[in-house]
Amino acid sequence: MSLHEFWLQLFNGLTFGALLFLVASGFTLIFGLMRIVNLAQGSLYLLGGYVGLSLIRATGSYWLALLGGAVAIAILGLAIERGLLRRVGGNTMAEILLTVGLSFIAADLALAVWGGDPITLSLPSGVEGRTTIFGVTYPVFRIVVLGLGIIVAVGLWALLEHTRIGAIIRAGVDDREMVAALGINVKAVFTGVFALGALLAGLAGVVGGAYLSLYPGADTEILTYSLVVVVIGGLGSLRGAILGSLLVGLIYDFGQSLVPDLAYFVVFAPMALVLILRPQGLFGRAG
Amino acid sequence: MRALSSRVRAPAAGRSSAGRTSWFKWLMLFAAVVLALALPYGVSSFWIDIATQALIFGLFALSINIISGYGGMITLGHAGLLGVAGYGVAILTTHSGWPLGAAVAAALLICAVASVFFGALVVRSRGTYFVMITLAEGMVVWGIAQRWGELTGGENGIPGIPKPSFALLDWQYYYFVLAAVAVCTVLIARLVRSPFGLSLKGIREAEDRLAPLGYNVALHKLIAFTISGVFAGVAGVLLAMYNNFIGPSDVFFLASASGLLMLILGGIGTLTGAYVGAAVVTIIENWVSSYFERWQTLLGIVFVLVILFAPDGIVGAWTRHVWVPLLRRLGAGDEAAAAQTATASASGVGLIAAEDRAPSDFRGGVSATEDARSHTTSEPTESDREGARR
Amino acid sequence: MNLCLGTARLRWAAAMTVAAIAAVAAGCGGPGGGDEGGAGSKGPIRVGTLFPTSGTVAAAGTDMLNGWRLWWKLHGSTVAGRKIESTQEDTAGDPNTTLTKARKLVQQNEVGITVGPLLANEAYALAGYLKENPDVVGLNPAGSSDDLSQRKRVDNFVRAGGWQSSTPTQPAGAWAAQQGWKRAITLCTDYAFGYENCGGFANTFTDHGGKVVKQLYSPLGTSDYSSYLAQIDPKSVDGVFVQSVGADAPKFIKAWSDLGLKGKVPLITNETTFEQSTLRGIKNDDPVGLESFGHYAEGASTPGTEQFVAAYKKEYGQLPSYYSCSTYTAAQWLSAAVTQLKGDIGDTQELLKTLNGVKLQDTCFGPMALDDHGGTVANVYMRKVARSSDGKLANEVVKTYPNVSQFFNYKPDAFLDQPVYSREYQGTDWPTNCDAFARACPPGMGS
Repeated sequence: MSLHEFWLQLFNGLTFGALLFLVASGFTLIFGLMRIVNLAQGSLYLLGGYVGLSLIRATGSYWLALLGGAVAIAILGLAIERGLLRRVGGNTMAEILLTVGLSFIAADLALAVWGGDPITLSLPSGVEGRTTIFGVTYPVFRIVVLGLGIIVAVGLWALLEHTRIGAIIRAGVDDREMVAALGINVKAVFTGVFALGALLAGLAGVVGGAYLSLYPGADTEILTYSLVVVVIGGLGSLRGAILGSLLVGLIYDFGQSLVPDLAYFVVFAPMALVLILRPQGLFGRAG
Repeated sequence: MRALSSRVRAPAAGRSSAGRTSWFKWLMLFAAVVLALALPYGVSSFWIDIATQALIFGLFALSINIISGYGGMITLGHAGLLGVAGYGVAILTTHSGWPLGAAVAAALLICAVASVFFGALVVRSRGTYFVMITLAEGMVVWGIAQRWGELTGGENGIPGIPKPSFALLDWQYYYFVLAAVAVCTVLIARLVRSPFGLSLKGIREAEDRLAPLGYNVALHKLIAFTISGVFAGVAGVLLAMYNNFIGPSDVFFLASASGLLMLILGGIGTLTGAYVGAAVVTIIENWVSSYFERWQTLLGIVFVLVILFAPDGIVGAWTRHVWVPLLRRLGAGDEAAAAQTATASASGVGLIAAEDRAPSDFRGGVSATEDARSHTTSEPTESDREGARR
Repeated sequence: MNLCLGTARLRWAAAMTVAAIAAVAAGCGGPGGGDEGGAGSKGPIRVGTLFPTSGTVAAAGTDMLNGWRLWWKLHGSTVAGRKIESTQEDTAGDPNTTLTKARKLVQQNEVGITVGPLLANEAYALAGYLKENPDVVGLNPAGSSDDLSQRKRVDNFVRAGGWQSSTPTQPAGAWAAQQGWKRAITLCTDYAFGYENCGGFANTFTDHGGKVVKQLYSPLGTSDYSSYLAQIDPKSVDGVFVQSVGADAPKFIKAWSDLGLKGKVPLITNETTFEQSTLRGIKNDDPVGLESFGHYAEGASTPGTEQFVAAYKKEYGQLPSYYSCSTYTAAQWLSAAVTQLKGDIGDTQELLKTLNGVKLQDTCFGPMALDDHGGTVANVYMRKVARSSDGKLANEVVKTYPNVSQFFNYKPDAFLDQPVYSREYQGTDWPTNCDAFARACPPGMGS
């Protein structure tokens, strides 16, 4: 592998990891606090992208689409949590299956509304171009994605570690009943966290729509990668999501070129290893 | 938390009430058998098709029921085990030229081994972690199916899987599947009512209590998982021969989710629910889809509605609203009560799974604080339940 | 129902059930099978279309349906006095569903002719079904697996308006070598369609003295092409051949530009990479100027193509993809056969003979006919993406290769002696001398 290729693969891995982090962080947050495996996270991603698409078509502004997509899906998440998930309160199985059912509906309705052609969101001219770093030509947008991932990671960390809400969330992850016993409106916190997770997915969708394009099946693809990330990193851990995303992104890219015949295994083997050796993930809770 | 003893008492109560209700149930069973046998004479090949598929997927759903319904452990990767057997028979017959009988036997054996292996990875997990790991396992099988082209044909799958020589026509194959499925169902029914089956239900209801009682919980789970996997394998073999084909889509996560969906729709924790659910989904997928383009949305909505309003599924709802009142009218109060609690326990599956009150625990053993906490929460008071349900 | 039965009773029940089933099945004959809808010689001709209108290939399936319907709309659905009745069933891109729907169409709707499906695995599944049901005739406009008209031909599965995956890429390899490319890298999707595309190119490229220095395979559903493109060193190759399909295509196109390879390394691709259905969704100029080889070009100036494109644009408001053209042509093909038989298609063998003998001059692909093996003989276009005056991206024709068959310049027997293109066999070491060529043996091949 030449140095040139090394840098390319490194950038590729980091930026792909950043995108994965956006989706996986929401997933892990929702699980960490609410113990809900949100199998509709991929659908939220796809819907976010499509909403962004419609906004771009209507207004021509990618940034507006980014904001709008994120907010729209956050609202959708709110509605799902309050309207549906809460009704089955605490029933893990029902929650998981509800999200599966919702993903069926979302995928089919998205097909009906936006059609099946793969669509790439067009970027504003400011970030459309290429730049050269370390002698390697690289698209500006991907670097923006990396930056976005870092900002979100830092933001989430700050939220969890340095705000009262964050403390409540962390306490809720540790001991739900206690938090309720302290008189805190746990229900509102749960709704908020779910909406936040959805917001992140929607944001990721608009980003991914420009990076990977939108099409039927993109929801399952991104969900699969998110699952790999959180299995490796550990469900419910922000650190795990960060590390997991980086690992998966880098392994994906370097793996393709170093061991092309085993491309698929290269991504799933670490997951399998983690499952066998440390099922709760690298940073998962061990009780 | 209901005591285990009422579980044990239920079947006994049934057996001792003789007379009209037994006769009535036998009549219903007989009617069902006659209907199933007569089906090909009354309907077109298309509906024989649908019925065959419903039976095969019903068996698949029933296999999931063993660990999810009776055992309370939700799995989202069972299509992987279905696929191991299906691909097994496909590869052995098309690539290696084995005779069909030997290939089927070998495929089921390979499936059993895979089930043991996959089961071993999951037995120490609970609740959502169990789900996640089974999901991952299923995806690993899918990955192998899709990518190991020389062995599995990759995306194209493996065509040309033969049918047994005595079951080449569609109605013949239907009877073949009917017989196979009937035998499997009877075996599963026996299993569920055996002491092993009861301990499985015990694991579902109060896992933390069984270890101190001397049960090797992990071993029980592993055995249950393996048995469940083998029955999924039977469904896989039947499916592969039915379609003369197997491909990665048969083992994808959606196939596993579909099996679970069918089970929930029909009624988790019941024997007949799996078949009822499979029939409904198969009909929507193959018949309704010709008339209604957004049938997948319909399927999703049906599913969501069932989870929200009828988590017992169709059979559960029927039992509660039709069967039990009927039994009462026939004067079998005990029988009715037994059926009622049986259903209620079915919906008790995963409703408030004890393991979800405490933070996740992966080791089979329980730390002291864990122990204390689970003991506190396993004696539920109203406020406790409220808190857990948030 | 709570089956509270004792073990003895259970055994009895099981035994009785099994015995009853065995008795019934073995004893009386089976029920009469469903009426195998023969096409007959009067009444409507019932056709069943198997297009995937849901799932990941829904866009292509919808295009196929549009193309099919357009023909009948423009030309009326009565041919030689018989009405063509068409029923569409969604295969959802899944072979199981394809089979179930095919059975439904034949048994329930009594169709005698099927059209479709799309994907290779669906097509092979249907081919298996058709083999078991020789009274049903299947038209295959889109399933391009090479072997369906080579080593695994099924007689009643006809490429009416169809194609083979490697047919357009074989001329591409020869073209590249003639341009002076000495070293090439191929990048294809890691499944049969990809192997056949890359194989066609690699086979002919190496015949003409070229060397394929690396063959990359990306999985179907590649999320990020950049890791594959990173392995292409512009200094070590003269050109790159790429095949991508479906949702992967726009990702490839984007990555090719993003990583600065566009314009730096010569690129040619297969048909599906720059397919109209892909181009529709791209707003920027990444694809402009890039060249590909295919059996269809929206911008071809043959009268058949121009008419079709204009009519499609008028009806659906967008430019047609090759999916639409293929089913439009299938309808045209069927019409021609029915007309030739004066409406009497009751004899399946006659119908097949006629279908195989159809020669159309003015399809939206240009002229098209079938060879002795059931493979298409038609134009192959070298195309270039351009932005038309109304702002839409479309393929213009740079060069036309007429009468290209699935065997290219090879002798059919020699070609068929080799295995079908696969991951292991890409034709790079074959042939070793001129004997395998029917014509135009490349210089330097030896004799």
